[in-house]
Amino acid sequence: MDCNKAIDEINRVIDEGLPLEESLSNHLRTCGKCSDYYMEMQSIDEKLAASATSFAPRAPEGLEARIISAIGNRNSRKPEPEKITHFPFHYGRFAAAACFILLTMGASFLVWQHKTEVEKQNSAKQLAELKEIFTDLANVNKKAGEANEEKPIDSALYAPLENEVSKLTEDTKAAGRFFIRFIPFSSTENRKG
Amino acid sequence: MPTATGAPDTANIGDLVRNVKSGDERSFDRLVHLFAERVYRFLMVRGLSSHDAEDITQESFMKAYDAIKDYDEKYAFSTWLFTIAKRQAVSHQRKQKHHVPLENLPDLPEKESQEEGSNLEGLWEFVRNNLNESHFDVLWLKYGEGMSLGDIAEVMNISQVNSRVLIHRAREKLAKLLPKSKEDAASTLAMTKEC
Repeated sequence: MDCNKAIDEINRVIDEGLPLEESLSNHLRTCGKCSDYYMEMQSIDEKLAASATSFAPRAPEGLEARIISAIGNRNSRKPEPEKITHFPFHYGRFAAAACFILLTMGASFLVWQHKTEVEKQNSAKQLAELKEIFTDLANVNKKAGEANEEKPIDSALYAPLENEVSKLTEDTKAAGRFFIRFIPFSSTENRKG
Repeated sequence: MPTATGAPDTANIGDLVRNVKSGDERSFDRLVHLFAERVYRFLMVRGLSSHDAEDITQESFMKAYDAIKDYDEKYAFSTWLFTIAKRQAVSHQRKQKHHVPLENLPDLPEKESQEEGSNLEGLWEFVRNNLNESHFDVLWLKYGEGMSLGDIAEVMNISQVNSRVLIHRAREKLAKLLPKSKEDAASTLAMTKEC
Protein backbone atom coordinates (compact mmCIF):
# COMPACT_ATOMS: atom_id res chain seq x y z
CA MET A 1 0.00 0.00 0.00
CA ASP A 2 1.42 3.40 -0.89
CA CYS A 3 1.15 6.49 1.32
CA ASN A 4 -1.56 8.22 -0.74
CA LYS A 5 -3.80 5.17 -0.55
CA ALA A 6 -3.01 4.86 3.15
CA ILE A 7 -4.05 8.48 3.81
CA ASP A 8 -7.37 7.92 2.04
CA GLU A 9 -7.94 4.78 4.06
CA ILE A 10 -7.05 6.52 7.32
CA ASN A 11 -9.64 9.23 6.70
CA ARG A 12 -12.24 6.63 5.76
CA VAL A 13 -11.49 4.67 8.94
CA ILE A 14 -11.85 7.81 11.05
CA ASP A 15 -15.01 9.08 9.32
CA GLU A 16 -16.82 5.78 9.32
CA GLY A 17 -15.45 4.42 12.59
CA LEU A 18 -14.12 1.30 10.85
CA PRO A 19 -11.46 -1.04 12.26
CA LEU A 20 -8.00 -0.91 10.68
CA GLU A 21 -7.54 -3.38 7.88
CA GLU A 22 -4.47 -5.59 7.91
CA SER A 23 -2.89 -3.96 4.89
CA LEU A 24 -3.23 -0.51 6.46
CA SER A 25 -1.94 -1.74 9.82
CA ASN A 26 1.09 -3.21 8.10
CA HIS A 27 1.74 0.06 6.30
CA LEU A 28 1.41 2.09 9.48
CA ARG A 29 3.94 -0.19 11.21
CA THR A 30 6.49 0.49 8.54
CA CYS A 31 5.72 4.14 7.61
CA GLY A 32 6.30 6.69 10.36
CA LYS A 33 4.83 9.53 8.31
CA CYS A 34 1.52 7.78 7.79
CA SER A 35 1.52 6.51 11.34
CA ASP A 36 1.99 10.05 12.55
CA TYR A 37 -0.73 11.28 10.22
CA TYR A 38 -3.07 8.61 11.56
CA MET A 39 -2.38 9.54 15.17
CA GLU A 40 -2.75 13.22 14.44
CA MET A 41 -6.06 12.81 12.61
CA GLN A 42 -7.37 10.49 15.28
CA SER A 43 -6.40 12.96 17.96
CA ILE A 44 -8.12 15.84 16.15
CA ASP A 45 -11.18 13.68 15.57
CA GLU A 46 -11.44 12.90 19.27
CA LYS A 47 -10.81 16.49 20.34
CA LEU A 48 -13.40 17.91 17.95
CA ALA A 49 -16.01 15.42 19.10
CA ALA A 50 -15.24 15.95 22.77
CA SER A 51 -15.22 19.74 22.71
CA ALA A 52 -18.30 20.27 20.57
CA THR A 53 -20.65 19.91 23.56
CA SER A 54 -18.97 22.63 25.57
CA PHE A 55 -18.74 24.95 22.58
CA ALA A 56 -22.42 24.84 21.69
CA PRO A 57 -24.26 27.57 23.62
CA ARG A 58 -27.70 26.87 24.99
CA ALA A 59 -30.73 28.49 23.40
CA PRO A 60 -32.35 31.27 25.43
CA GLU A 61 -35.40 30.53 27.51
CA GLY A 62 -38.64 30.76 25.60
CA LEU A 63 -37.18 30.43 22.11
CA GLU A 64 -39.50 27.56 21.18
CA ALA A 65 -42.53 29.39 22.57
CA ARG A 66 -41.57 32.49 20.61
CA ILE A 67 -41.31 30.53 17.36
CA ILE A 68 -44.59 28.69 17.93
CA SER A 69 -46.32 31.93 18.84
CA ALA A 70 -44.91 33.73 15.77
CA ILE A 71 -46.15 30.98 13.46
CA GLY A 72 -49.53 30.92 15.22
CA ASN A 73 -49.93 34.70 15.00
CA ARG A 74 -49.02 34.74 11.36
CA ASN A 75 -51.41 31.90 10.56
CA SER A 76 -54.28 33.58 12.41
CA ARG A 77 -53.66 36.81 10.48
CA LYS A 78 -53.41 34.92 7.24
CA PRO A 79 -56.69 35.46 5.40
CA GLU A 80 -58.39 32.42 3.88
CA PRO A 81 -58.09 34.68 0.95
CA GLU A 82 -57.30 32.94 -2.23
CA LYS A 83 -61.07 32.53 -2.41
CA ILE A 84 -62.35 35.53 -0.47
CA THR A 85 -59.89 38.33 -1.15
CA HIS A 86 -58.66 37.43 -4.56
CA PHE A 87 -61.74 35.95 -6.20
CA PRO A 88 -63.67 39.20 -6.70
CA PHE A 89 -60.52 41.08 -7.64
CA HIS A 90 -59.49 38.65 -10.33
CA TYR A 91 -62.87 37.65 -11.62
CA GLY A 92 -64.79 40.89 -11.02
CA ARG A 93 -63.35 42.52 -14.11
CA PHE A 94 -64.25 39.51 -16.22
CA ALA A 95 -67.74 39.48 -14.74
CA ALA A 96 -68.17 43.21 -15.47
CA ALA A 97 -66.93 42.74 -19.03
CA ALA A 98 -69.27 39.80 -19.52
CA CYS A 99 -72.23 41.83 -18.17
CA PHE A 100 -71.38 44.73 -20.46
CA ILE A 101 -71.21 42.44 -23.47
CA LEU A 102 -74.51 40.78 -22.56
CA LEU A 103 -76.24 44.14 -22.07
CA THR A 104 -74.88 45.45 -25.37
CA MET A 105 -75.99 42.31 -27.17
CA GLY A 106 -79.43 42.47 -25.53
CA ALA A 107 -79.88 46.13 -26.41
CA SER A 108 -78.74 45.49 -29.98
CA PHE A 109 -81.20 42.63 -30.27
CA LEU A 110 -84.08 44.76 -28.99
CA VAL A 111 -83.23 47.59 -31.38
CA TRP A 112 -82.94 45.14 -34.26
CA GLN A 113 -86.23 43.48 -33.33
CA HIS A 114 -88.00 46.85 -33.07
CA LYS A 115 -86.58 47.91 -36.42
CA THR A 116 -87.72 44.68 -38.03
CA GLU A 117 -91.19 45.12 -36.57
CA VAL A 118 -91.43 48.66 -37.94
CA GLU A 119 -90.16 47.51 -41.31
CA LYS A 120 -92.72 44.72 -41.34
CA GLN A 121 -95.50 47.16 -40.53
CA ASN A 122 -94.29 49.58 -43.21
CA SER A 123 -94.04 46.82 -45.76
CA ALA A 124 -97.57 45.62 -44.96
CA LYS A 125 -98.85 49.19 -45.21
CA GLN A 126 -97.07 49.75 -48.49
CA LEU A 127 -98.26 46.45 -49.80
CA ALA A 128 -101.83 47.42 -48.93
CA GLU A 129 -101.36 50.73 -50.71
CA LEU A 130 -99.86 48.98 -53.70
CA LYS A 131 -102.78 46.60 -53.80
CA GLU A 132 -105.09 49.59 -53.86
CA ILE A 133 -103.06 51.24 -56.62
CA PHE A 134 -103.11 48.18 -58.78
CA THR A 135 -106.75 47.58 -58.11
CA ASP A 136 -107.34 51.17 -59.28
CA LEU A 137 -105.11 50.47 -62.24
CA ALA A 138 -107.12 47.41 -63.09
CA ASN A 139 -110.32 49.44 -62.86
CA VAL A 140 -108.85 52.16 -65.07
CA ASN A 141 -107.85 49.57 -67.60
CA LYS A 142 -111.28 48.07 -67.50
CA LYS A 143 -112.97 51.42 -68.00
CA ALA A 144 -110.59 52.35 -70.78
CA GLY A 145 -111.25 49.08 -72.52
CA GLU A 146 -114.95 49.46 -72.23
CA ALA A 147 -114.89 53.03 -73.49
CA ASN A 148 -112.75 52.57 -76.50
CA GLU A 149 -111.26 49.30 -77.45
CA GLU A 150 -109.43 50.63 -80.49
CA LYS A 151 -107.86 53.67 -78.87
CA PRO A 152 -104.69 53.33 -76.79
CA ILE A 153 -105.16 53.83 -73.11
CA ASP A 154 -104.78 57.43 -72.11
CA SER A 155 -101.42 57.80 -70.37
CA ALA A 156 -102.82 60.66 -68.28
CA LEU A 157 -104.83 58.09 -66.41
CA TYR A 158 -101.62 56.42 -65.28
CA ALA A 159 -99.72 59.52 -64.33
CA PRO A 160 -100.87 59.77 -60.71
CA LEU A 161 -100.30 56.05 -60.27
CA GLU A 162 -96.76 56.20 -61.65
CA ASN A 163 -96.09 59.05 -59.30
CA GLU A 164 -97.23 56.89 -56.39
CA VAL A 165 -95.15 53.90 -57.53
CA SER A 166 -91.98 55.99 -57.81
CA LYS A 167 -92.20 56.72 -54.08
CA LEU A 168 -92.10 53.04 -53.20
CA THR A 169 -88.93 51.27 -52.18
CA GLU A 170 -87.33 48.70 -54.45
CA ASP A 171 -88.46 45.88 -52.17
CA THR A 172 -92.05 47.05 -52.28
CA LYS A 173 -91.89 47.39 -56.06
CA ALA A 174 -90.61 43.84 -56.28
CA ALA A 175 -93.46 42.74 -54.07
CA GLY A 176 -95.81 44.69 -56.31
CA ARG A 177 -94.47 42.96 -59.41
CA PHE A 178 -95.12 39.65 -57.74
CA PHE A 179 -98.55 40.80 -56.64
CA ILE A 180 -99.54 42.17 -60.06
CA ARG A 181 -99.33 38.76 -61.71
CA PHE A 182 -102.26 37.62 -59.68
CA ILE A 183 -104.50 40.63 -60.31
CA PRO A 184 -107.07 39.72 -62.87
CA PHE A 185 -106.83 42.33 -65.64
CA SER A 186 -110.39 42.11 -66.69
CA SER A 187 -109.88 45.01 -69.14
CA THR A 188 -107.33 42.97 -71.11
CA GLU A 189 -109.61 40.01 -71.11
CA ASN A 190 -112.43 42.31 -72.23
CA ARG A 191 -110.30 43.73 -74.99
CA LYS A 192 -109.42 40.27 -76.17
CA GLY A 193 -112.96 39.18 -75.79
CA MET B 1 -22.02 9.18 17.33
CA PRO B 2 -23.06 11.43 20.21
CA THR B 3 -23.96 14.93 19.17
CA ALA B 4 -23.14 18.18 20.87
CA THR B 5 -26.76 19.13 21.00
CA GLY B 6 -28.38 15.81 21.78
CA ALA B 7 -30.21 14.78 18.65
CA PRO B 8 -33.88 14.04 19.32
CA ASP B 9 -35.35 10.59 19.05
CA THR B 10 -36.13 10.29 15.36
CA ALA B 11 -38.67 7.49 15.70
CA ASN B 12 -41.72 9.71 15.43
CA ILE B 13 -40.39 12.56 13.35
CA GLY B 14 -41.72 11.03 10.15
CA ASP B 15 -45.19 10.75 11.73
CA LEU B 16 -45.04 14.33 12.97
CA VAL B 17 -44.10 15.58 9.51
CA ARG B 18 -46.95 13.60 7.93
CA ASN B 19 -49.37 15.03 10.51
CA VAL B 20 -48.25 18.57 9.70
CA LYS B 21 -48.67 17.89 6.01
CA SER B 22 -52.23 16.81 6.66
CA GLY B 23 -52.95 20.05 8.55
CA ASP B 24 -52.11 19.29 12.19
CA GLU B 25 -50.36 22.44 13.44
CA ARG B 26 -49.68 20.97 16.87
CA SER B 27 -47.34 18.43 15.34
CA PHE B 28 -45.27 21.27 13.96
CA ASP B 29 -45.06 22.71 17.50
CA ARG B 30 -43.56 19.40 18.50
CA LEU B 31 -41.02 19.62 15.70
CA VAL B 32 -40.10 23.11 16.90
CA HIS B 33 -39.64 21.68 20.37
CA LEU B 34 -37.34 18.95 19.02
CA PHE B 35 -35.18 21.04 16.70
CA ALA B 36 -35.19 24.72 17.77
CA GLU B 37 -32.27 24.29 20.14
CA ARG B 38 -30.13 22.51 17.53
CA VAL B 39 -30.82 25.08 14.83
CA TYR B 40 -30.09 27.94 17.25
CA ARG B 41 -26.81 26.38 18.30
CA PHE B 42 -25.78 25.73 14.70
CA LEU B 43 -26.32 29.41 13.96
CA MET B 44 -24.52 30.54 17.11
CA VAL B 45 -21.44 28.44 16.47
CA ARG B 46 -21.23 29.93 12.99
CA GLY B 47 -20.57 33.23 14.72
CA LEU B 48 -23.95 34.94 14.66
CA SER B 49 -25.02 37.10 17.57
CA SER B 50 -27.57 35.67 19.95
CA HIS B 51 -30.19 38.09 18.67
CA ASP B 52 -29.57 37.23 15.01
CA ALA B 53 -29.44 33.52 15.77
CA GLU B 54 -32.87 33.75 17.44
CA ASP B 55 -34.35 35.67 14.52
CA ILE B 56 -32.93 33.32 11.91
CA THR B 57 -34.03 30.26 13.86
CA GLN B 58 -37.55 31.68 13.85
CA GLU B 59 -37.42 32.54 10.15
CA SER B 60 -36.08 29.09 9.34
CA PHE B 61 -38.99 27.39 11.10
CA MET B 62 -41.47 29.69 9.39
CA LYS B 63 -39.99 28.83 6.02
CA ALA B 64 -40.00 25.15 6.91
CA TYR B 65 -43.67 25.41 7.93
CA ASP B 66 -44.58 27.11 4.65
CA ALA B 67 -42.65 24.64 2.54
CA ILE B 68 -43.30 21.42 4.44
CA LYS B 69 -45.57 20.11 1.68
CA ASP B 70 -42.52 20.12 -0.61
CA TYR B 71 -40.30 18.32 1.91
CA ASP B 72 -39.05 15.03 0.49
CA GLU B 73 -39.12 12.39 3.23
CA LYS B 74 -36.23 10.47 1.73
CA TYR B 75 -33.98 12.99 3.52
CA ALA B 76 -33.86 13.42 7.29
CA PHE B 77 -36.06 16.27 8.50
CA SER B 78 -33.09 17.70 10.42
CA THR B 79 -31.03 17.77 7.21
CA TRP B 80 -33.76 19.67 5.40
CA LEU B 81 -34.18 22.09 8.31
CA PHE B 82 -30.44 22.72 8.59
CA THR B 83 -30.30 23.36 4.86
CA ILE B 84 -32.93 26.07 5.27
CA ALA B 85 -31.18 27.51 8.33
CA LYS B 86 -27.80 27.57 6.59
CA ARG B 87 -29.24 29.38 3.57
CA GLN B 88 -30.94 31.90 5.84
CA ALA B 89 -27.71 32.44 7.75
CA VAL B 90 -25.65 32.87 4.60
CA SER B 91 -28.18 35.32 3.20
CA HIS B 92 -28.23 37.24 6.49
CA GLN B 93 -24.44 37.36 6.67
CA ARG B 94 -24.23 38.65 3.09
CA LYS B 95 -26.64 41.45 3.94
CA GLN B 96 -24.67 42.25 7.09
CA LYS B 97 -21.44 42.50 5.10
CA HIS B 98 -23.01 45.16 2.94
CA HIS B 99 -24.46 47.15 5.80
CA VAL B 100 -21.92 47.13 8.63
CA PRO B 101 -20.66 50.68 9.16
CA LEU B 102 -16.89 50.99 9.48
CA GLU B 103 -16.98 52.01 13.14
CA ASN B 104 -18.90 48.80 13.96
CA LEU B 105 -16.39 46.43 12.40
CA PRO B 106 -14.96 44.02 14.97
CA ASP B 107 -11.26 44.12 15.75
CA LEU B 108 -9.20 41.72 13.70
CA PRO B 109 -8.24 38.55 15.59
CA GLU B 110 -4.69 38.64 16.77
CA LYS B 111 -2.09 35.91 16.69
CA GLU B 112 -2.87 34.70 20.18
CA SER B 113 -5.73 32.75 18.57
CA GLN B 114 -3.29 29.85 18.26
CA GLU B 115 -3.43 29.53 22.00
CA GLU B 116 -7.15 28.96 21.82
CA GLY B 117 -6.55 25.72 19.93
CA SER B 118 -4.13 24.36 22.46
CA ASN B 119 -6.83 23.62 25.00
CA LEU B 120 -10.01 21.68 24.37
CA GLU B 121 -12.35 24.48 25.41
CA GLY B 122 -10.99 26.90 22.86
CA LEU B 123 -10.70 24.37 20.05
CA TRP B 124 -13.93 25.24 18.21
CA GLU B 125 -13.31 28.92 18.67
CA PHE B 126 -9.94 28.29 17.05
CA VAL B 127 -11.57 26.33 14.23
CA ARG B 128 -14.04 29.12 13.58
CA ASN B 129 -11.37 31.80 13.60
CA ASN B 130 -8.84 29.98 11.45
CA LEU B 131 -10.70 27.82 8.95
CA ASN B 132 -12.94 29.05 6.21
CA GLU B 133 -16.72 28.87 6.48
CA SER B 134 -17.14 25.64 4.49
CA HIS B 135 -14.50 23.83 6.50
CA PHE B 136 -16.05 25.00 9.73
CA ASP B 137 -19.55 24.01 8.62
CA VAL B 138 -18.63 20.48 7.58
CA LEU B 139 -16.70 19.90 10.78
CA TRP B 140 -19.54 21.21 12.90
CA LEU B 141 -22.18 19.19 11.08
CA LYS B 142 -20.06 16.09 11.56
CA TYR B 143 -18.88 16.56 15.14
CA GLY B 144 -21.44 18.95 16.54
CA GLU B 145 -24.52 17.50 14.88
CA GLY B 146 -23.32 13.95 14.24
CA MET B 147 -24.55 14.02 10.65
CA SER B 148 -23.61 11.41 8.09
CA LEU B 149 -21.57 12.33 5.00
CA GLY B 150 -24.75 12.10 2.92
CA ASP B 151 -26.62 14.52 5.18
CA ILE B 152 -23.67 16.91 5.29
CA ALA B 153 -23.55 16.85 1.50
CA GLU B 154 -27.26 17.68 1.39
CA VAL B 155 -26.99 20.61 3.80
CA MET B 156 -23.90 21.96 2.04
CA ASN B 157 -25.42 21.38 -1.40
CA ILE B 158 -22.40 19.41 -2.58
CA SER B 159 -21.76 15.79 -3.54
CA GLN B 160 -21.02 13.16 -0.93
CA VAL B 161 -17.50 12.74 -2.29
CA ASN B 162 -16.94 16.48 -1.98
CA SER B 163 -18.18 16.49 1.58
CA ARG B 164 -15.74 13.69 2.41
CA VAL B 165 -12.85 15.58 0.80
CA LEU B 166 -13.87 18.82 2.52
CA ILE B 167 -13.80 17.13 5.93
CA HIS B 168 -10.39 15.59 5.29
CA ARG B 169 -8.94 18.89 4.16
CA ALA B 170 -10.46 20.72 7.10
CA ARG B 171 -8.92 18.25 9.52
CA GLU B 172 -5.56 18.41 7.78
CA LYS B 173 -5.58 22.19 7.79
CA LEU B 174 -6.47 22.19 11.44
CA ALA B 175 -3.63 19.77 12.15
CA LYS B 176 -1.20 22.14 10.47
CA LEU B 177 -2.49 25.17 12.35
CA LEU B 178 -2.81 23.67 15.80
CA PRO B 179 0.20 24.16 18.05
CA LYS B 180 1.89 20.86 18.87
CA SER B 181 3.28 19.86 22.23
CA LYS B 182 7.07 19.49 22.35
CA GLU B 183 6.88 15.69 22.75
CA ASP B 184 4.50 15.39 19.83
CA ALA B 185 6.73 17.48 17.64
CA ALA B 186 9.79 15.45 18.55
CA SER B 187 8.11 12.11 17.91
CA THR B 188 6.72 13.37 14.62
CA LEU B 189 10.17 14.43 13.53
CA ALA B 190 11.69 11.07 14.47
CA MET B 191 8.98 9.08 12.69
CA THR B 192 9.18 11.21 9.58
CA LYS B 193 12.90 10.47 9.33
CA GLU B 194 12.19 6.76 9.54
CA CYS B 195 9.62 6.81 6.75
